[in-house]
Amino acid sequence: MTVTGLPEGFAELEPFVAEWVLPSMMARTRKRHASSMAEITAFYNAMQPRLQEILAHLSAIPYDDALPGEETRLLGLALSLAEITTSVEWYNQPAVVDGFDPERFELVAELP
Amino acid sequence: MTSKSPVTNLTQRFPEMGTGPIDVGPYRDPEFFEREKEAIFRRAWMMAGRTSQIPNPGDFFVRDVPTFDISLIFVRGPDGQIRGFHNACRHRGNHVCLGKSGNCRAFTCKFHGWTYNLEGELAGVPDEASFFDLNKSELNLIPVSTDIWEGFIFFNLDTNPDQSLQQHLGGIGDALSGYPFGDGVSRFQFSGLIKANWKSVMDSFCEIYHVPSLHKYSIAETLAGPDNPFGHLLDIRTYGPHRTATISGNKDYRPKPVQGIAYAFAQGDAITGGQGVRSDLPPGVNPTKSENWGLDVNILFPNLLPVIGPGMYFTHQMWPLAPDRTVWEMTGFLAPARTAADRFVQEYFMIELRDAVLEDMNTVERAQSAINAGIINEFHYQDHEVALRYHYHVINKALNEFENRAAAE
Repeated sequence: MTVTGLPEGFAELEPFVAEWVLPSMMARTRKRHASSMAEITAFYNAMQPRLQEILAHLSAIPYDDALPGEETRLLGLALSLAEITTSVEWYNQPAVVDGFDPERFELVAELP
Repeated sequence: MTSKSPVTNLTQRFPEMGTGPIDVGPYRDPEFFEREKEAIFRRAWMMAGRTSQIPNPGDFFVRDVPTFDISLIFVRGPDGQIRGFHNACRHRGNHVCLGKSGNCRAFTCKFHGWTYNLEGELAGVPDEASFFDLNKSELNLIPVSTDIWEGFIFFNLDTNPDQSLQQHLGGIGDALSGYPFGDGVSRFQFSGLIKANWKSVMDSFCEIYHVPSLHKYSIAETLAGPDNPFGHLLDIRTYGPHRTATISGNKDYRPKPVQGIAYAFAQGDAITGGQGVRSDLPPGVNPTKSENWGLDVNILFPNLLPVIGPGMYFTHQMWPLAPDRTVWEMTGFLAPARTAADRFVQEYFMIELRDAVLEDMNTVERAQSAINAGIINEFHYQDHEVALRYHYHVINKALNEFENRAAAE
């Protein structure tokens, strides 16, 4: 079964789903480093003003195997926001300033 | 006691250390490195993982020990007890467990099919009749000394350790016991090969003098506020070879937009009570009971740093490979996400931490190059780098004590 779309009220974020809903932290990290600052900022600027509402919505949804597809996608967008927030709020560029190569940090255990 | 102002003259609490420059020999010398392996790592209590990783009988995980290229298995038996074994078949030495973690009823070597039960006993040998005088009861998996403190599983490669784990931890074990480590059952772990001495990697997490400069885009303002611009320590406490460096926070810090929302959602949900400081924490956590507490870097000899801050704890662990090569592991322990919003907050915390550490690692590799080349031959530690100076002295003391004991035997 393929579930499409986001929960009601978040349709304006739909254009970001194809690129920013990704299956793992490393996939999100690689997306961050493959993106321009303009792309990252556009995503941040769309997400940041809605984040309170996104979290209010997601905080009513138990985090378990039964997470519905629409909420899975909304959470996927939020997880990518978590990845790129430091690009905007700390570094003003995609990568950590004078940072170590992130590919040299292997995520050997991913959060459930 | 509530202290707001950081303390001074920390180094002078340890007059035997002096205040002079530190020789970098121990950070590059191959002979010194071999002495460390023999005197320290071959006989130290080191952390393998947590009991919550293997809650049920048959649950196991494999712990690689890069320093000795050894693989260990930790498994919960049918009796509920956790045991550690070398991951090596008694027939010809192949690994008996190829997975990293899971649940099983027995360990079977894929080479010839020798099978061991969860208590490590050799249970089955194919074509046993063709062997000569095989005494199966003497060919169990080789046990590794294993003990548990506060849910952390420790091992010791010495089959007959000089000290129990409890004796080894001593005062710091008491000071931290009772902290809700057990709440952190959701784990993440990063690992990396760092081209630097293990002590340099470790030391980079044990002082805050670098924070206002190196971390100026990220965590400088959260740790070093206007009343403590150089990140002076709130305290250093030592317990034999172990120590706790207590780091101040800037409670007037005003978070950035997404950061602030993430922090606000974490409030009250996290392990130590979010942004506030829980009153029921053990005496070794935030030992000065400061309102400006940032976090405690606990340094457990030889290679484990449990870092405890408001709302979370994580560990750094260093595995020496060569005088200038270290396998570093950083493991976060979080309360399970109850809602999908919790999961976002966890990710945000993990990414902040990862990015801050990405800022650290180039410095240790560049410094190692200058040390290896003989360009830099001494370190100059200031007062608030006292945990590093202490480290140097603890290592030298451990080597001398071990070698003097060995010479006397």
